[in-house]
Amino acid sequence: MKSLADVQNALLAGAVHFVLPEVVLVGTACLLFVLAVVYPRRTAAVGLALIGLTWAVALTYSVGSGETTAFWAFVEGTPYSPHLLAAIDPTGLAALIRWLALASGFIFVLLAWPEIQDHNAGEYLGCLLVMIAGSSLIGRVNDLVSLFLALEMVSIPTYVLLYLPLRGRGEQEAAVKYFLLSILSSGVLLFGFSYLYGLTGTTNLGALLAVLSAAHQHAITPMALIAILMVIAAFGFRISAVPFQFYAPDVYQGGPTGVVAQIAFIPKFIGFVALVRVLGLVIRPQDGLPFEASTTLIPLVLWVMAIVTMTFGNVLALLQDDLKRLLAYSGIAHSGYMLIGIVVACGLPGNSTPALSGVDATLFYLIAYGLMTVGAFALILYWNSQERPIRTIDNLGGLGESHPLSAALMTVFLFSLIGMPMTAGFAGKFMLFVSAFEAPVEPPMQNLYRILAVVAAVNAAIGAVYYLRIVGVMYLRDPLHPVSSARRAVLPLFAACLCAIGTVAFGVYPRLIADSTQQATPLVEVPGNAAVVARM
Amino acid sequence: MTTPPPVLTPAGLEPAFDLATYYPMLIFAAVILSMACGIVAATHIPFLKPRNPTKTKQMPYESGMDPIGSARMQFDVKFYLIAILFLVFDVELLFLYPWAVSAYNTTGGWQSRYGDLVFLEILAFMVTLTLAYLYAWRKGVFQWR
Amino acid sequence: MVEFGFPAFLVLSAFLFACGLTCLATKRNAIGILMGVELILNAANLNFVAAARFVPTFRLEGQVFAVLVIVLAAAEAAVALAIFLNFYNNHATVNVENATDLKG
Repeated sequence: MKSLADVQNALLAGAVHFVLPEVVLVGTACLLFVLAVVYPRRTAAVGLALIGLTWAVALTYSVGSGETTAFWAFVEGTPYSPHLLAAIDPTGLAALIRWLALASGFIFVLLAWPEIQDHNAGEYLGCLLVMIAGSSLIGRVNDLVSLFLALEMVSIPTYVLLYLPLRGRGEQEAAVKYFLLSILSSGVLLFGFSYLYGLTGTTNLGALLAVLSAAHQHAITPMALIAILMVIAAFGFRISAVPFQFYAPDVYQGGPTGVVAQIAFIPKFIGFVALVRVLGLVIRPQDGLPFEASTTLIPLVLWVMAIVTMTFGNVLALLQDDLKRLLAYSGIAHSGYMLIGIVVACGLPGNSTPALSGVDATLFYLIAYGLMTVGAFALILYWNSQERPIRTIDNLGGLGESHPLSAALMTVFLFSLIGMPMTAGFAGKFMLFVSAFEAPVEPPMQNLYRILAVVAAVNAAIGAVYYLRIVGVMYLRDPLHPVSSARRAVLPLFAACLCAIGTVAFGVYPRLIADSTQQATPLVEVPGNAAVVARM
Repeated sequence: MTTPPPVLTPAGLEPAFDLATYYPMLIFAAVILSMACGIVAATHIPFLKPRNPTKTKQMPYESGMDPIGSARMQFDVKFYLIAILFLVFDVELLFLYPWAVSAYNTTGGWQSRYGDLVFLEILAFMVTLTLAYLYAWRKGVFQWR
Repeated sequence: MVEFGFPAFLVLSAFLFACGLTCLATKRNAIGILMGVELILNAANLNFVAAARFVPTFRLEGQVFAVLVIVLAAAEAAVALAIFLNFYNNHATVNVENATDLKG
């Protein structure tokens, strides 16, 4: 029989095979940096980036479900659970997250086109590919070290991207603000991680959560409480949840539009996935969730955060005239909706298996949110030009006549953001509400979930006001400053078309993606303390 | 004199604390301290210190130039660029230490089976660093314009 | 020799963390804020290294994590200096209170 050390070593060495597409992406990024100094041309850089992405897609496709099989083969014939030993875990969420990251990579390369010039194309796309690799990695990390690495692979390139394209005062201010708050959140996250490590003596997430669950049968230790609150605060920054949202409007308004589209999606995406992992909602210890064994504190904190976030975002979005600021507040509000799924999953008692676990509803909504928000930013990028910049909502006047196709696409995205039926936004909201209503009305949370769903419904109605205002301006108002009809890059429009197709397809037939989100969140139960102690 | 038995700590067996090991350092510290105190006393205590003020001796730098202008001047940005670059490459090499310590140490048992893989990973790491260096070089960071 | 236990290190790191937060809250200079964040990162590092030393099985993850964090802090400092230099060129200051172009 293989010894524990053998299994551990094999898993460590085998981890290389589970991150091959990410390695390809980072390698391409290195080549892009070299290309940037050897042959600085925009077309060459975009071509190389697309080759790298396609190669990563081909690798992902060829691997298929082989990763999971290989992963379990490492522990074949041994009593150990691989989730307690491996740093990279290709089961569960991993494949879906990788596909999502790669798909968003293609969209963002298309959006990058109008914003890059020959002299910064290589750096821009290199940073973008590192970011994509990081966000793909986040779905498969099972160790605090690799989790932190993946998070930083996303945030450090973001700082560079924010100030690469243009160097006006606005961009710089956005970059400085985002940078200072982002490293603060990294520091706080790390401090929380250090407490978790100090409490459990392991950085493996599965083992760490199992030890904590066993220790928290009766009461949560104050140190673990401080640690998890710090971790929630840090991820709250990434998903721009109140009270960590204040940077978002400024950064969205000042940043270059293509990069803002990335900031609107990727940090939220990785923030939610990482939160789900750290709270033990995917790899679930047998002894129950690690942070609410005998207290409802963490679900309650998240519950309050969800309500305040969605209300704050929606109410302040009503007051905005700047289009990108409005989308920033709308993004904050949507983070609030997505938190519903996390709250529901967090408060579920250990042995219940509702049709919707909450996590898959959040994942679905995340995909829908990504499609519609990135699509909206793509259209802003498409309409924007030097002589007629798109800043306020009034700039959109008359677009319904002058640009019928793009205005129609924008309407699709806005309807989806409102949550009109037949759009992905509706399907996502529906799933979130159903998961909240299906949650058992039991002592820990009583009927708080239902209150949450009702508040979210009221908020969706408020949200409709400012989204419809944009639609109204586009179709009913005469143009004050007509959008110039100069020849423009069609790649953003193409990206917007792809997003719109996704929005409508997932809205009309949600099973397309709902099935995969459901399969991706199977709640792997890992054995409790005994196996972990045996490992020590 | 017998040495006390080693102590078991979480990190393994470690020799017990023995003051005798530190005698040379204490003597060294005492000599340094007395020299420092002696110099301060001989130059600052009245009646001990020599006193013969001349105009030249009152200058800030007795055999140098008087300072010109303020010391709070701006440094050229290029100093920062080089400093940043040095910092990053210097710190990146930190990753080589854990590998260098454990790669050829045969107690772990993993070296025989996975040593080559780890060596390749280290090589890949070095290649990446070289690419970064190339990038900085071609960007003209090292040219002092 | 007096052996300080784990709690002593925890107290020291908590103190460092508090210093970092105070620095963040009071400094108006971007470089000063960066220093505060570095204090927080090092507080976390101290926890990792101390935990690696005092955990019953003496596992190495803590030390590896600390090495990673040091490298990361250097990378962040590099990006930070680049951004701040750029900011300085436009605003002639690194005082973040002067960053008020974006409002609403």
